[in-house]
Amino acid sequence: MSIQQDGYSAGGDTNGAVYGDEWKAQTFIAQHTYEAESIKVYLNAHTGTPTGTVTVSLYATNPANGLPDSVASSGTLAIGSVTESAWNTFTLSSSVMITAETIYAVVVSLSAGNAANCINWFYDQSGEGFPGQTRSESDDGGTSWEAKTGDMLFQVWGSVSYTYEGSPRSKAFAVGNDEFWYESTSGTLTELAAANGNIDTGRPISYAEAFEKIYLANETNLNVVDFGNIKFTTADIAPAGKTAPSRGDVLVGVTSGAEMVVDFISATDGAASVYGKSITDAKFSSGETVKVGDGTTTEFTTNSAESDGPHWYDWKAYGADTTTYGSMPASATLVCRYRGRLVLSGNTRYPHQYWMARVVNPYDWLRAEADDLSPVVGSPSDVGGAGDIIKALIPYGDDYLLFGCANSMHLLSGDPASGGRMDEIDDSVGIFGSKAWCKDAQGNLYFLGTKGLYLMAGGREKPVSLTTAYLPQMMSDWSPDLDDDRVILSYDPDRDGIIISKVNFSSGANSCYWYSLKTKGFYPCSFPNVCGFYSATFYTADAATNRKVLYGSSDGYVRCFVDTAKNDDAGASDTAISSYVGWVEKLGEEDSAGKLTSLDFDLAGGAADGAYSDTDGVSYALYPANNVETAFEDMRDGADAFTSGTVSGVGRKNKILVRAKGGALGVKLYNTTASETWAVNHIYAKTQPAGRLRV
Amino acid sequence: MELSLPLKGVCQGFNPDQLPEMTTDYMNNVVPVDTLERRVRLGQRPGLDKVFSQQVGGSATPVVLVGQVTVLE
Repeated sequence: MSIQQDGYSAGGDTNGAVYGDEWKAQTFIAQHTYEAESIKVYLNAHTGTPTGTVTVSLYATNPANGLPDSVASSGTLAIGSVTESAWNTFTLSSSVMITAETIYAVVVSLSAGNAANCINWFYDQSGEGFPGQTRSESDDGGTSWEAKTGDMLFQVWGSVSYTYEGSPRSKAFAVGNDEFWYESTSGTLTELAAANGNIDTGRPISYAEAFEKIYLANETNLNVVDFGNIKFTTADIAPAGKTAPSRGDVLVGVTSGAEMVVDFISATDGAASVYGKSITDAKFSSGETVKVGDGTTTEFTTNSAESDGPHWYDWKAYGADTTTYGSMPASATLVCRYRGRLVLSGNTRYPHQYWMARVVNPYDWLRAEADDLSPVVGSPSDVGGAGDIIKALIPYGDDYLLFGCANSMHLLSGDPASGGRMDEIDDSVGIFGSKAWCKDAQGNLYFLGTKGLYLMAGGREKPVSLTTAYLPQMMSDWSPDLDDDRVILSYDPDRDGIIISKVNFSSGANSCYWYSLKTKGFYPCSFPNVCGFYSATFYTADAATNRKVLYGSSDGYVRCFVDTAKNDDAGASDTAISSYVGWVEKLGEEDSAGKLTSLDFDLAGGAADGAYSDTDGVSYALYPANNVETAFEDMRDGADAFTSGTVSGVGRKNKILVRAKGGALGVKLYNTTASETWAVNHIYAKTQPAGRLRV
Repeated sequence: MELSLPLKGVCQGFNPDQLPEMTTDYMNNVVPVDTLERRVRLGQRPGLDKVFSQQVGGSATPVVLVGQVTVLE
């Protein structure tokens, strides 16, 4: 929002004539940093009848004399648009970033006129005119200036930006076709070329975010995507008599004065890449000597200038020094962050095992005794036995870590190296796969288990089946296969519900349920094969409008649900959404028949084009039958409807006269028309008894 | 009479004439909160739109992982 940021607004008592080459200016010291968008000047009554265009400009000043030097931006008004004896607003053609404590100038000029026909910029002749706030005049069209006493009446308006150096920014990323793509600028994905071919998207993959990095577990491909560090390289990180820097050392560039805190090095001897957090504006250059302290222990020469991320490198022990920092598992497909540790699991040779790195050090895996921060290796078994196969890692902040296993659920409370405790929550329900879970806004866990969808309240209560009552055949109907299908669960906070999706790896054919946390009901959904959901994440984008669930689709695109989208974007073209719902109403009791005589639809939208969004048309079909089951069957079999039609418009519609007789009435609402959607408030029916039911 | 729209979604395993109130076993792409005003009433589900114009991997292969990272800029 634009508000007045600088100005001098009182005490005006004298005219400053402005015309032709006779320009006037007022300097000022900016009180704070902001974005200048417009300038107001008080223009008194004209002298005579001036013509031309009034220009008000914002100038940088000459540091030597504090007088106007170079124009930054301007705004204009035709003389006919100027209001005499009033503040006039001049919008700058481009906003100008104003820096606090810097001297600027407001300059007013008129493109025509003379002394008898001019505009008058009002000023306070007794204004103090101290350095940095000075009235000045030019008689050569702004080429040279002379300081004067008094102060012109002016105001500079603008907006204060509250971003500051080091603002946190969210970036989305996506992985497909053995490639890693990230959001380089808002709304744009760019490939990270270094990753190409170093990911195998045909194998399981998961990630954890920590320390401005993405840690990927893709079986033997354990990698880091580093956004936070700078990088440079050296031909020899430990020349004769020297040692490689340790993690946390401050490296200083002797020539540049640049400094960085070392985070990771790729080797402790010979050629190496060095990654660390820059802590100066100065930058490391190629061929520069860098050292720790006085260089007695660590000193080497760079052979590249520093570069910003994202960087792609192998995730391994610090400096690849397994003697000092232990060995990572050779393979892992599960990774998470828990209590400042990176946790790995999903190794097919050790399926019951997990590995935890040192606290706040993803590159140290060497277990140490009597060390609360030590790396840990363990198994989710409370008696140290063989344990169960770990299929999912589900962290709950720094409080506890759930292990979703093949046939059980285990919970680790606290830190395993310091009084942590492993408990078995359930020994009969396991989780389908690594992505078959999600949490809602209250921290309740939902996962696809042995017999369908389960809820674990708070993520630590015993699992409760949500589908036994309403979808008892869910798992047999779905028959998900780990080799053929991907199952994902994803909580949508915007719509307060969960997508439960099964997609076939090769074809993209999909079956989904929407579980509404509002109604606690299940709603089947289906999508074009190209849109099948392979992955999902809730993206906490910087812009509120972009905060939504992202779905990684079969065809390489990332999609989201949009309320105003009436079709599915299926790549080259849109696909109409085929929607339908059918149910059966009883027309008569026991052996009595009933007759439907009319239907009244009340469609969403109120009055047409009013404040509420309007529905499109919806089609209906009626299936009278002797009994409820037959009516349902007719609908499902696609039998010829007794009658059908389309209801268009909004609000209460005209009565539809019908003569449908039977023991039950199937009612189907549907839409297959592209670019249409619908919503219904009510449907009213008039019925009357129709004698005995004839079978 | 007002027809009982199946606002509570699907239900399987019951005799059709004994289904719990406001449920059915025959529906697809219909949700209980509409896309027009986000009210609890039966309506067609929202459609899917691309978030980014770029195709990950440059070809029609699945996006097997999506996520986010927070960085200081």
